[in-house]
Amino acid sequence: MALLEVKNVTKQFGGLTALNDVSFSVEKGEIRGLIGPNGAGKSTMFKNIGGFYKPTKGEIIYDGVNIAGTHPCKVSGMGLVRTFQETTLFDELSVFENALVGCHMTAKTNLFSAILGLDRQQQVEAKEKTMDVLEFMGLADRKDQLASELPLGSQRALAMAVSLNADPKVLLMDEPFAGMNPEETNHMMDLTLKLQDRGITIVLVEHDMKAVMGLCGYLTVLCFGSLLAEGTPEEIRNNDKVIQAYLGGGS
Amino acid sequence: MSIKNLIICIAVIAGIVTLTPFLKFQYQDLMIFLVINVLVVVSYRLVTLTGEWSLIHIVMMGVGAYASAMLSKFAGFPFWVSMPLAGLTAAGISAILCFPLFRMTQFYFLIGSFAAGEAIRLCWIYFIDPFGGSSGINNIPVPVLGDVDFYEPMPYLYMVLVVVTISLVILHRIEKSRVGLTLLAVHWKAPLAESVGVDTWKYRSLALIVGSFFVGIAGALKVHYLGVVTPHQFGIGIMVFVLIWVIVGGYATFVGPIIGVVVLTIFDQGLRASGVVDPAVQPAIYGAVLITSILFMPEGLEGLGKRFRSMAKNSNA
Repeated sequence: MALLEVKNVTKQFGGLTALNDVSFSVEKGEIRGLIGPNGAGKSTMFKNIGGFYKPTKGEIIYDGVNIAGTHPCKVSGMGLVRTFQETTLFDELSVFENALVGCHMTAKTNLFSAILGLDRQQQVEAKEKTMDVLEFMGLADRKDQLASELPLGSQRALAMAVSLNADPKVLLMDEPFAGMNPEETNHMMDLTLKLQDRGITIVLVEHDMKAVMGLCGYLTVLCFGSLLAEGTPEEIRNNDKVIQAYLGGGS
Repeated sequence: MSIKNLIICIAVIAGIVTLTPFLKFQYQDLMIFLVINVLVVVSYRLVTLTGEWSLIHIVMMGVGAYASAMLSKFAGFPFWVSMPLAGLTAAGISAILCFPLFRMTQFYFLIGSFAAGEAIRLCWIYFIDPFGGSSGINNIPVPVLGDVDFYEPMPYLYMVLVVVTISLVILHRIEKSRVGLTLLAVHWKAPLAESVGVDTWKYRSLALIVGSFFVGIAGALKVHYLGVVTPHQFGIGIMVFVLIWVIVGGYATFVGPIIGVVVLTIFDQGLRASGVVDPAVQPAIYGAVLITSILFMPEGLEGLGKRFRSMAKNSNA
């Protein structure tokens, strides 16, 4: 059974239909690309999956449960974690503190144990886990710097570290390669593949075709809120409808 | 906490304990209110950690004050029971208020909290039975412990010091824990915090409830010394003073608001003792201090100290 299944999702804003009866499913362990021209509804789809929007119609089945309309913080607690389109970090906190916030759900604490110091063991574990994640992302030697002082590539890596520390089963990545130079893109692609090796399923919205074609085993193409095509990168590249959607052209 | 900070804290407390008996009676009084106000500003800072500035804090102090006054006078509870119950009452009422208030953020939250606070304050004025109306409740029992009664300022000051010190230690531990980190995370980027599973509503409420608990205790400490509680002790004017203390002192760190309340209280008293200005003009001077500090020290007095330290370091190097 698919890990994440989008079933007949329709999202309307007043009279505008942003998503029209879209269905697709993502298998465990794959890297799935969600592409389409501007205004195709990719981000709207992401926000529906992540709980920021409630679909007007349809179901989103994750791990056998319908999560449509569930609050974002609950969705991420279930292992469905999203990253943000722009670099989104706690700028005023250090790299280490940023990542430490990520393990909010995985190493729980509460007020009374924090006051009485009963959670020392958990705190040590949370800190070790955070260091592991920072090392994995190649940020361990910058752990005491402020997040806002990092170069863009490292900031993106840190944003991924924050999400990763929440132990995601599915990672929803919203344009992780936007605004990156080729070198940073290559580094980010390596990191993404390493995440897949850790057994994390990845759903990717991206405009950078080189990255998408290189990473994804399977692509879902949206256009004007509807599902246009699905297939391997090779099939999509040669699909007439997709070429037409991207290049325009009369019918 | 580092050893150095621990020594500073012990020195400050020892200084208060040894020097206050030599002060004039009126300054002993003042010292008690100053120590209580330290708890007010530090508990307020916990509320502001999530980025929401409320105007209900002083009213919550009043809730604690009324609760403790009524429990000890009408129900005969000893102060040692009514004081923690005062904190719990303030926490409970703020917990109920979280439901309407945290549907709002920023400016709307500020105004909403003001309205909710005024509603509570008007209840005290309107319902003469049991709150006593405008003149409030008087003859509030003095705390007694065994043979010692706390009517005189010095014993009362010692008791206040113990309660406030314990409260500050707890508030400091909360701030330095992962709970405190999460509160900051909610402040700086609520959507990112939500994306890793933080329930931002819950954490905003938590900060307000815990802050209200401690300010409720501060309220109980205040009115049991005064012996009287009235609605006018907890008006918006007093809240503005709290805001000025916190902003002038600097709200970025734990000690900032403490510095603010101490420095401004000394400034205030110095002004009054010197007799240079009419007491009626004092609020205007406070306003000028606030504007000056926002313009020239955006991080408050605490930030000013930091700047001098880094300047000294640079000139030495």
